Amino acid sequence: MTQTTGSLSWANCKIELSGDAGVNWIDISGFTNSIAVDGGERATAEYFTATGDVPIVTAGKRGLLEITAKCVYTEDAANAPFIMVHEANEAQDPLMIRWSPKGGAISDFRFTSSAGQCVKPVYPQGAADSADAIPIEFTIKCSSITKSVISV
Amino acid sequence: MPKKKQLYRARVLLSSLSTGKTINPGETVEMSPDDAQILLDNLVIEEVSDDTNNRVAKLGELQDRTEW
Repeated sequence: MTQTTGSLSWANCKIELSGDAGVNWIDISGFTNSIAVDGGERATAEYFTATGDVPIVTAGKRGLLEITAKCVYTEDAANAPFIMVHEANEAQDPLMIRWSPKGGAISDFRFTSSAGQCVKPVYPQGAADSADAIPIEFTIKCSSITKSVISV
Repeated sequence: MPKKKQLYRARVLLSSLSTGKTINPGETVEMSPDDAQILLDNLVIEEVSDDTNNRVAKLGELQDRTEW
């Protein structure tokens, strides 16, 4: 088999955030450095019987997902992720996040979270001896992420 | 003159860029053949029967006449 030419880097990923249940999406690609997904494992169990040499494996439900985004802290735009996430966290409002690794054009894949809760307060942090842009990190806990293909 | 829209059936979950709505697998969606081509190439949608698309085309023509 020939080697694939379809691999992607994260360079063109489009990342969007919604604070109104997915009605309006704010493009936060220009603020966001990374997305990490954790959790979602399906519960499994094993049961041995006297006859069998190997276990019976049963499957249960899937666990919740944690989506962590690392962004740059800014104060100059109403749609900056810091402002959106901070306000949602304070008000206990749900957030949704979606991303498209290839860039969000027609026929690209898109991964959309269900409405979730921001679990940690978001504040700028840093040190005086650092020249780094101030980062923020927020985590949304949600029940599912849906893959779709972008159409017209 | 733009090509008439045709009816296509989603093979996977689609997320519309223009309307923001999702189209479930098996549901039909109207789009122009030009827009549909890349989705057809990626096996994401499929064409529906000619009869159905002929009806869609006729309805489109009737709509055009009404709009005039």
